[in-house]
Amino acid sequence: MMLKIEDLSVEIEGKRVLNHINLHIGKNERHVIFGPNGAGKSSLLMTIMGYPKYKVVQGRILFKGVDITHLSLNERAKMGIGMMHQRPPTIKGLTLMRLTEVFGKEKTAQEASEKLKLNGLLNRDINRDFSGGEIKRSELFQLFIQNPDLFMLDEPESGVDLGNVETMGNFVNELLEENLKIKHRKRSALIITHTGFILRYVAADKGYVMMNGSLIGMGNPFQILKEIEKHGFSRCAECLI
Amino acid sequence: MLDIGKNVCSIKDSSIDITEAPLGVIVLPVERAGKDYLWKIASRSDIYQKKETGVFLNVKKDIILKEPLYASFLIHKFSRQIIHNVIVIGSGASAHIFTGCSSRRQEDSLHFSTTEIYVKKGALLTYMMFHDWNKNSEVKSHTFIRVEEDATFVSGYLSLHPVKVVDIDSHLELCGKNATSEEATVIYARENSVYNINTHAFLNAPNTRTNIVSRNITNGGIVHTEGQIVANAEKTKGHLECDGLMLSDRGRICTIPALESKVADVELSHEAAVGKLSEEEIEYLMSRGISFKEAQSLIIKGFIDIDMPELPLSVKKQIKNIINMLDRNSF
Repeated sequence: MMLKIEDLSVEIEGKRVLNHINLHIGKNERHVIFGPNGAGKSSLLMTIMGYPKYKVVQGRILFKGVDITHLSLNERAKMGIGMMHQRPPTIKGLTLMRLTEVFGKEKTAQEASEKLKLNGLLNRDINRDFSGGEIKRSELFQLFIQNPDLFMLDEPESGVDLGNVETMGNFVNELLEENLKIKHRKRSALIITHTGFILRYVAADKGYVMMNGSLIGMGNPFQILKEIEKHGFSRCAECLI
Repeated sequence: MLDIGKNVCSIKDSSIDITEAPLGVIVLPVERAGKDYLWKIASRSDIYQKKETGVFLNVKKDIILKEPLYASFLIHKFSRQIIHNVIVIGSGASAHIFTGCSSRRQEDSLHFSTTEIYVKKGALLTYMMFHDWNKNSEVKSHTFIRVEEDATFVSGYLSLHPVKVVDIDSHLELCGKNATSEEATVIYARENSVYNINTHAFLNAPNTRTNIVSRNITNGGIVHTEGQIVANAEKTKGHLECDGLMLSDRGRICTIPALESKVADVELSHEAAVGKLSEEEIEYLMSRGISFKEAQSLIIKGFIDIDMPELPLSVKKQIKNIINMLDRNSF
């Protein structure tokens, strides 16, 4: 099992944002969470990643069989959790190239940056004056140099035009080892999507709807998306119960 | 001695050692600078005796130097080191001068220096000053710069290690049309270190441009910076940027920008900010697997990494090497 979340409840500054979440993600599985704005989707990813603002008040998180509920951000990242942030901060004076050097990935980074059309951005400060699409591609590039086993993608397609969603989708598939035989693939993904566009390119196994901090049911992500498109989030959540 | 490269000139206490300079470059004791340059733009302080210690560095007309010229100043045993330097970059010439100052003396010492810099028509000078004093050093440095038509002056000052007091005063005059300047200051003030940095730029000819950037970090020390741009001619541009980073509640950063114009057709601006290290930035880097300490260090190094677009890549690389050497994992 890659990730196991047991009865997880989370608060931010005393306010409950996640309620009794249970989630199991195995090796080479791609899970998708749908849900309206403010449902708690990003809070779940931030909690798994270990952002200190998100206080676990109940339950636990296991990653590769180890209880990581109280580990720091960088310890979790080192164990193999990687996250594509939705609104990452600008870091003045630190370039993507410098970050690549920190990870010792200068040699392989060139090809990745070409695929992501990032060459002009490598020597610019991280996220400084980046467009919406550039931020997303820079996040994927950073995941490439970090090389995790679990990819958590927070709204990968938001603010990105369709052409770029395709570029990103193809790259995500590469990160998820689609070039390998199925039995050799080990990496997993947890994807949050509002629009579902990313599912045109990334084949997902399981889908959920999140409403008011709770995960509601589990089903085929493509069928869930269809229901959402037809009837909206709340009706769809009902159909999963 | 702060070993930043092969010196064309080394001054230890009051003794000067001049080595062979590249073709087209004259390096002599300062008294041989001649009356056209000696105390022409700087006023002579009473502290100077009849015989002066210092260097006259003259890059002849149209000489283009690719590699930097290095000069070092060391306080070894003396309690006082009084220096006077004159630098002349001839018309159309291009040079990069790196100076390194340090002290080995464990008792109190004073380094007092006056530098007169003349950048002639169409010339380019990059002037980098690296300070590596110790907690007993008191430093007073005055620099006077005159930049002629179409010429460019780029300067950088870096001090990362403990020092008792540093007083820096620089007067820059852009006196020919289209002259430009970029001045950057980077200070990391530790406990018991005090810095007073005053930078004045005078835009005295049409179409002149200046940019003054200072990045100050305190971890217990005091940094007081005052930047002033005075526009005396039209179609001039000036920008001041002062950023301060407080690593703890100890220490103090005070930054005072001043803009003054005597004509209407000018563009003068300033921006200033003082704050702490951003938790959001640290956590973001930690989410990539970088430790808290390393994340902090990367952000601080980024903060002091000022982009100077006028500099050739090779010179930028050398500056980076020196910063890495001076850094000694101290952030």
